[in-house]
Amino acid sequence: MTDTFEIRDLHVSVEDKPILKGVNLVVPKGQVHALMGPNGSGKSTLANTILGHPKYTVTRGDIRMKGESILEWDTDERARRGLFLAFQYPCEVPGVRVSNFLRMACNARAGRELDVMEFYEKLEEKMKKLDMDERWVKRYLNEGFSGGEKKRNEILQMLMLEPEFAVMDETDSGLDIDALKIVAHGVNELRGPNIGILIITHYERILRYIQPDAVHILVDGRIVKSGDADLATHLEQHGYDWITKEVVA
Amino acid sequence: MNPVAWQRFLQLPMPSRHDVDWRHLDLRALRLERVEKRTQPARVTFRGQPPTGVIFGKLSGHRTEANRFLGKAIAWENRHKFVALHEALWEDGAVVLVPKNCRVTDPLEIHYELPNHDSAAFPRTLIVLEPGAEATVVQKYTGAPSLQAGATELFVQPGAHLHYISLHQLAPTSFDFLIKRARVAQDAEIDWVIGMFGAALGRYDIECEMEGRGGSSFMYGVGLGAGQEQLAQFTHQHHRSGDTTSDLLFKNVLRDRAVSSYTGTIRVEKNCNGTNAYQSNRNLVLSREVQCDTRPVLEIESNQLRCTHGATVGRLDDNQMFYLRSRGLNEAQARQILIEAFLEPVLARIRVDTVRREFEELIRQKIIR
Ligand SMILES: Nc1ncnc2c1ncn2[C@@H]1O[C@H](COP(=O)(O)OP(=O)(O)OP(=O)(O)O)[C@@H](O)[C@H]1O
Ligand SMILES: [Mg+2]
Repeated sequence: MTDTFEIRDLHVSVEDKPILKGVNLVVPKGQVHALMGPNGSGKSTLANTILGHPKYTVTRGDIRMKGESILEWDTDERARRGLFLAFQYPCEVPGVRVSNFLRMACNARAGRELDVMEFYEKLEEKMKKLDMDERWVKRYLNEGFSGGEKKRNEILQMLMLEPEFAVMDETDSGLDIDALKIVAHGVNELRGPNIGILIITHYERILRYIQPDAVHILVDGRIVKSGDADLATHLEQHGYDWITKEVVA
Repeated sequence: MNPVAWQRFLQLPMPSRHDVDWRHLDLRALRLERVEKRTQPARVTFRGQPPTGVIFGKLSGHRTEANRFLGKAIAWENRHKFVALHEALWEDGAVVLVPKNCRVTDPLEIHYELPNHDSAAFPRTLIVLEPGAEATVVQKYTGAPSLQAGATELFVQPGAHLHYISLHQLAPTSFDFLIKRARVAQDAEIDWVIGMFGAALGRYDIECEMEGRGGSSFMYGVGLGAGQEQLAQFTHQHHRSGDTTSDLLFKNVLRDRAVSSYTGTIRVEKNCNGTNAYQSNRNLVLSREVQCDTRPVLEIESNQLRCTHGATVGRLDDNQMFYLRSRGLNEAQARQILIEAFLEPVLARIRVDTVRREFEELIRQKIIR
């Protein structure tokens, strides 16, 4: 299992408060997994920890990509090596134009200065896919973007950076139905043998468009149940109560 | 020498940390004793091709035309010691005089190369735009004198439009004192961008006097402090007439053990209804040893007006840093992007591309390195 993304017995604290309490998860390349769970269960904590956010301390366990532990890598090194996080709350960076930022990010990911024309051709193609017009990339990064626009901008970055493993943290929340279809279409095109994707969501809706290979449920810092796509449908109808009961019992 | 001003200079005490305007500032490294004997003229170079009729050159060559204006933008009494010193010892400088309705398309550049080492310079600049005239004037100060005390007088007459850019970059051993005051007449506009990029201690008094209805001043500044540099900014937005607008944004980036203090005065006289006066001072602090202080002063005697002021002192935002780094930018790149983004609203006001690039390059050298 070298071409996998693997989380082993992961324990994470924020300000000395334990949030993740032994998460185990394996996403092989070529697969899409969904992670669901009640508010505050630790989903974003997991996502941020994968990218090495300094606020989140790994107290035990490991995160491995293609057989190598990533814990010692800085955030930017993780990104350059192919990890990507579509943020639940992308932050605004006034004064930085989307196009300039994307070009620097793509250069960093490629490890070399990309041809400017090539870059813009690719950008145009991806924007078309996401139904974005060119005014978009002249704006300042996320500044004044609507909730849905921010999410779409995250996916644009994901399509441009072509990660090997991507986490999408509630990308579907805040998207209207048309935008959701567009985004799902973009993700489906990226999907393939060279990428593993973890979709964090509260709703089965997005999983109708992006069929997951597996669904995991995180409750109170642990994955308490895994299954196939039907698990998401079941959750949608019955909520999390039955799981908590099942786990306690 | 102007003996009255010289007497004033002698009588004014050396500023000390006990004066509210000079608190946090340290003048001990400045040796004034032999200043008079060490005076050396600055080398001035002029660039730009003005149309005929425009006066553009050394002040000493155009005294007759300049005399109508010279000394009349700045009220010289009740100023600090180094303004008195300038008034006492200044001899020459540069003049730009654009006649009525004349539009100068090429930027006019005045570059003061100040003498190095143990010397002092007192350049005076006079810029006059007669009614309906338009021009872009770029002023630069470079070199390593022990002391510069300079003054720039700006007259923007009715309906005239001046884009004024000034760049100050002296050695980290130089003491730099500059006063600039613009008189803005009816329907006239001045767009300022002031770069304060280095000196052991730089004190900049930047002032606009709104004298006629419909006049506006957009005063933008960027200050950089590194090492143990000290930066003191005093701005003055003085509304003598109603229906005038003054907008101001000063942004500073401070690293190492730099010290900065900003004092921004908005003064609105009686019967100046319809005044718009805005002031904002933002400081980005990159190290814990930086000292940074900001203070608004409002003296407002009219009541139908819009006036806002705001100040912040902040660090680089952790979430923004994480966001940029999560896309593969290393720490240095992420810092650079955020610093440049912070300064973007000021740099965007520079309408001469070569000068904007020069600002950006100096910022990179000094702050980002
Ligand atoms: N940066 C932080 N500072 C303090 N507490 C945090 C931080 N991040 C997470 N927590 C805490 O950790 C717990 C898990 O939060 P997390 O954001 O991971 O939940 P989530 O599963 O993503 O929830 P949601 O579905 O609401 O997005 C919560 O109790 C939260 O308050
Ligand atoms: Mg979350």
